[in-house]
Amino acid sequence: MFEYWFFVILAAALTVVISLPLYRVIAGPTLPDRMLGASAIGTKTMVLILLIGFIFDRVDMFIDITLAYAVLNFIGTIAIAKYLTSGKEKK
Amino acid sequence: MSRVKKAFLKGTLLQFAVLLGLWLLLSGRIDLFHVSAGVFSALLVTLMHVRVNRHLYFDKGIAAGRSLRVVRLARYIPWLLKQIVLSSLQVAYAVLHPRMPINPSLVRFRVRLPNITARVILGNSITLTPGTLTLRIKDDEFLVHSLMEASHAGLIDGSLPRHVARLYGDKSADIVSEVKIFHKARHV
Amino acid sequence: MSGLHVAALVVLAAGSFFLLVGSIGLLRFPDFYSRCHATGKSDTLGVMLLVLGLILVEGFTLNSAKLLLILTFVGLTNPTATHALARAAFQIGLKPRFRRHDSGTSPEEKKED
Repeated sequence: MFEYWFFVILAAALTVVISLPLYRVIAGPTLPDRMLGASAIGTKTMVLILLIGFIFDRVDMFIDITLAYAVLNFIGTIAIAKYLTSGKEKK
Repeated sequence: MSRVKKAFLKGTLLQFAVLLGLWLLLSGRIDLFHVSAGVFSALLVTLMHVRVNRHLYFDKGIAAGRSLRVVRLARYIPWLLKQIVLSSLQVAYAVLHPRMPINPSLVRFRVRLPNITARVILGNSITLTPGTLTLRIKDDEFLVHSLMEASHAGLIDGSLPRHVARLYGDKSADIVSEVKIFHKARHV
Repeated sequence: MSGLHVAALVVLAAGSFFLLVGSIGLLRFPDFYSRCHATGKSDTLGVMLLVLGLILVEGFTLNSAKLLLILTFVGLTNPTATHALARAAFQIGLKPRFRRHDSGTSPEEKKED
């Protein structure tokens, strides 16, 4: 029971922490700033998914989701970085 | 058999073993059906990857020079973990300090490393050690963004690149050259 | 509550602290490259510590091995992703901001323009 409430509180705190980079995504002065915020949100969301797995006692299932999410987050960031540089000459 | 061909065969076998291990870990079931399906999938992926490997080993020269000493990783990884903790504490200090004591600069230098993998390891290590961030790697020329005045000291005296070179059994003292520090971006 | 649980609590709390620092740094630092420092280092350590704490809670099972896999993966890919973004930004010509030594403009003042 103790563990359950600890994980709920930790997940709630993590939600607050995740909402902070959202400001950078909305207000970020440049495009790379926004992407950095989005990738930071993705990294923290991974931990949130794991914590949800612990809260609902289905760790085995949520770990696989987390792995897929980690790979997707990485590939997504790399793809955006490639997209940023494509079609523009180096100054 | 030539040395590159031997390294190529070794790398391909290692890839198969890693893929199979990953399969066994993720499926978590050791019975005839699951293991044979895993062997089949790992073999399929390895065969699909043979052409990429051939390109990497024979054209790009990934195995050129010395090869990675796995035993030395056992000393390198704890050192790197300590550096990660130190750098995070430094960032935490800079972030939470009310006046934010940062003084960014760009550092450019050349470093002599045995092969591409060593450069990847050095690039990632630079990002993880206190106050430095890899911006660009062009051949053996590194461009690094450093957050504070003191943070690029470990790069200029070459202690961090030496740690990486030691992974490959290279003990020579000066592998860093042509160090330049910029405080204006247009000079780079 | 065993000693292992206390250790897990401490590690989880430290991980959350570093994630918080990374988020605040993303908001407070004056330019893109400094923000890269915040996410590239603090977030990596924060996620690694949180997953380590979850391993301590979980004990010695198959799930722990998978969690260890996630930990390794994050430790390898997070710096790489940060480097990829920083390199892309540098290539499209985003200039880093420096503190001017002569006029003494602080990074906070430069944030407005």
